[in-house]
Amino acid sequence: MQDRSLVSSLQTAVGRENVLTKKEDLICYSYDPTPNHHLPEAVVIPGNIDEVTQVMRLAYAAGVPVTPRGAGTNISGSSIPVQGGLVLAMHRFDRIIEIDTANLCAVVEAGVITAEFQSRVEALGLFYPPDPQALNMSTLGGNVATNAGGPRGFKYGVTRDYVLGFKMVLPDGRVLKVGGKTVKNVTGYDLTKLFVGSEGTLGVFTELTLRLIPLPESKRTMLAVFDDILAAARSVSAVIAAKIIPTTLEYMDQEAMRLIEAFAPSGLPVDSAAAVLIEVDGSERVVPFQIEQIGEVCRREGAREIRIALTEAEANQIWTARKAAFSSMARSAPTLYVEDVTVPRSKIPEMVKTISELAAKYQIKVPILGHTGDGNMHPIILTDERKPEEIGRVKQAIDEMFKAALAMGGTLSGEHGIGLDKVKYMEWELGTTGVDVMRRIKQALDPRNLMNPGKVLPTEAEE
Amino acid sequence: MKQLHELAEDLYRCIRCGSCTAVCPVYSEVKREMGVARGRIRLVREHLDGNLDLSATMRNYLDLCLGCRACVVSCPPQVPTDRIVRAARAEYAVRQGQPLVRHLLLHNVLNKPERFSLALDSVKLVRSAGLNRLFPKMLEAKEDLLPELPEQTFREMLKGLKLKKGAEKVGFFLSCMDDNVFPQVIIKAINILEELGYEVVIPTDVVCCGAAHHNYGDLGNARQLARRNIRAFAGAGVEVILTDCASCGSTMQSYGELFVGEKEEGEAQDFSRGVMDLNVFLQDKLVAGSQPLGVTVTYHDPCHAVRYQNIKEEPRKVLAAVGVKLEEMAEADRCCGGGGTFNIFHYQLSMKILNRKIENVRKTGASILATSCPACRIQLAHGLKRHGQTLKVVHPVELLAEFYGKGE
Ligand SMILES: Cc1cc2nc3c(=O)[nH]c(=O)nc-3n(C[C@H](O)[C@H](O)[C@H](O)COP(=O)(O)OP(=O)(O)OC[C@H]3O[C@@H](n4cnc5c(N)ncnc54)[C@H](O)[C@@H]3O)c2cc1C
Ligand code: SF4
Ligand code: SF4
Repeated sequence: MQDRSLVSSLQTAVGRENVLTKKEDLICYSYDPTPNHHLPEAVVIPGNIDEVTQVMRLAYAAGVPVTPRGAGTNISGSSIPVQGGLVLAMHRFDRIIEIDTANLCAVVEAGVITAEFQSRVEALGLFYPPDPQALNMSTLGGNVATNAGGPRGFKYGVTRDYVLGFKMVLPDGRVLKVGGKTVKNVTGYDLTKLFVGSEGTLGVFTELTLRLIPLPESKRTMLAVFDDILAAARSVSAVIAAKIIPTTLEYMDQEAMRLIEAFAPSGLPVDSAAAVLIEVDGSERVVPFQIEQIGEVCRREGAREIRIALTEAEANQIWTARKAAFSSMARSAPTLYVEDVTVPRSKIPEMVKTISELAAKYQIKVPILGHTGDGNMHPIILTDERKPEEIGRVKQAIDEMFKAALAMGGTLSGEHGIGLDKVKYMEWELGTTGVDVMRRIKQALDPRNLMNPGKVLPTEAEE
Repeated sequence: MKQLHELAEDLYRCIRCGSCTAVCPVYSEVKREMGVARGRIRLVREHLDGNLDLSATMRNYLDLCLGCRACVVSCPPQVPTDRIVRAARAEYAVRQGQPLVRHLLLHNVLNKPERFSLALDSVKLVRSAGLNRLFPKMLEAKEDLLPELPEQTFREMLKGLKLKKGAEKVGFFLSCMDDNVFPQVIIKAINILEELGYEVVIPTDVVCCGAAHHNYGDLGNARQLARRNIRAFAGAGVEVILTDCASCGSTMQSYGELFVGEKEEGEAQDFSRGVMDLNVFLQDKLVAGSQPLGVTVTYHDPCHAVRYQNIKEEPRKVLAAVGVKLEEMAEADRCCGGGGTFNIFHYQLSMKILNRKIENVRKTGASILATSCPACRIQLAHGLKRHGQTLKVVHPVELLAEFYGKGE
């Protein structure tokens, strides 16, 4: 880092060993799962809220950008320090401060790993449902900052629905406290909703108060196999019309199943058009009936085959196949673009069709996974970042895909966020007024544009 | 063995998903990106792309890898981080040589059986003279890594031993560790094998398997040692070469890879194919007896067995045949932090990794901890002692011998 005096002030603030400036260290904080990368000028690892405050004050005074970082698992480029400056690594914030069983909530530091928190609360018979599929490595702070969601989102909602309050250090170093242990809270503007999903552009979460619910007694799992995707979509709608809300409705298309079978054979019907993994949870008395009922509905709507797991081992087998999807894709190509366009549920067949047409048009491979309950599709583009010509085609396909999704009343991103990669599409979805309102909020809180700059909002020049 | 640039394709497959951060024993202690596969791979990639020299800092970071392969098995594209790290170390070794202490260890101690014994003898001497109490605190703790040493090495014992003839011959590889530190394991293995009717052939002109040389990129010596071991078994007339050491087993199973494209390749591959872990050999040859040993045992899976040789059920089958109660610990296959010589070069970090293992062991309430690698055994015994735990650490074959009434 050029500014030696800033480095030494930072060292005084957080301790010498918690300021990294060697090139090798900077390289290790220059990337995330997207192909983007940029070196920071220093990595700072604070250990408590006072240290964060000091770091923010120093950085703001020096005019140096700050990019918060949890586990670096986001798939939008949002934790990459594209303008250099500091990476603020939050992993030392790893304490679960309190699990309040009486008020069904917990207070945690922002760097706690999602899965660790879940297993701690589940041991007490409680449940924290948000389940982004990177939960074994992601941080709760990262989840809140990206408003992460997962397969259970259809029944239980996403991270936002579980954030009761938080402590945050604002760009200028002041500490903002929002919300608390009450589920009801209408005191003033709803700041919780504003800051959840802000992708580190409005401040740094240090502490979170999260809502918990009782752990469901039991669950049942099945796989429904379809010869055409319309029947699959009809089935999903029919299940919901029958007033059953499954926790999970995971869609896999033929291409995805073929890849899974090639790398991790698990007996998926590769000659079918699509399969949907369905899971219900709830009381032990109701769940077995519901799974049978879902099976019947799917059959009526044209499912070719229904596989209801009778034992836990069978359920695990179905899940293992679904979970192998991502690794099978990762093994078949060096670069993955994991998109998450989301459309109203009724438009799923149309979106699936559009994606396959785009894949053919641009000669790329795009297996599709999806959370069909909420219309959140994951077309996964298999490519190689070292082939510029192919990446050109990929980018064109993505442009068209977003246009199509918006035309269907959908959104650019259901759960991954905007980050770096989708900034240029923001105005397509929000219009100039929408972008302007967001920009004013950003300017009010971060007038020097130093908090994770370059993310979420296009700079004026980019428009 | 593949060179670094030949692994470029594998390296580019890292999608930076971070799955390795959830399983890497080093990362869970250091919590820093250069302490996990994702960071290590990126550093090597920047080097191959011409953006980073083979710097001392990078070497230090790569040295912080245990080679435990936990990342590899949970990596979506299965990037072979352990291989990449070893190939990078080999590149360093070729260009910059080994750091002094490591050089002495690889060239002067591990290379020759008599030197290894001599080094251990000096430990004995230092201890008996009470000199170890004069060591600075840190060094003392490290010296303490080595358990009580036996009176005689196996090589010495062998002179007074009469090996039985049998219908079928099996080879047995004399590992440095067992020869010098745990000769009783070999004795018991021989007893069991003879009881089952085998004739055990133990060439004494074998040398170190070369695990450490392999690991630290000293391929010249690794090949030299491999040649000598292959030669030692050349006239033995055996098809199977048994070992009670998971690290020796997996290292010797990769001799073939050391000679790819060279004239010894075929011979080395044949040798590698014959190498077999003792548990694997025994598992289907045992009959459960009527008098179970009334003890509770927990089992630690050595990385070099479970993730290098895919051995998981076999030692458990051996334990089941003994009739002990097996109480599985949490994370049985998580690395103990020994990592060959990792515990010597990175003592503090190694102890942190070990603490978690010992806690998992303690929770089982078992009175015996079984494992199938002498390097893990030394590390585990050290950890138990540090934590005031009284569990005995054994190789499954020792329990088996007790069961067959072949104990002492
Ligand atoms: C294999 C895989 C599967 C995934 N599956 C899903 C999925 O199903 N659903 C889903 O929603 N996402 C998914 N993701 C994306 C990712 O896991 C989520 O975005 C996750 O919430 C990121 O958490 P993190 O701790 O890694 O944050 P990071 O990636 O480190 O950061 C993400 C953003 O949050 C900001 N940030 C991090 N911590 C803080 C903080 N304390 N204060 C303020 N800002 C902060 C960063 O600046 C950045 O903008 C997946 C990723 C992978 C690799
Ligand atoms: S798990 Fe594999 S692909 Fe993912 S970051 Fe680690 S090494 Fe890379
Ligand atoms: S081999 Fe083990 S120590 Fe090395 S990076 Fe992988 S998990 Fe970590």
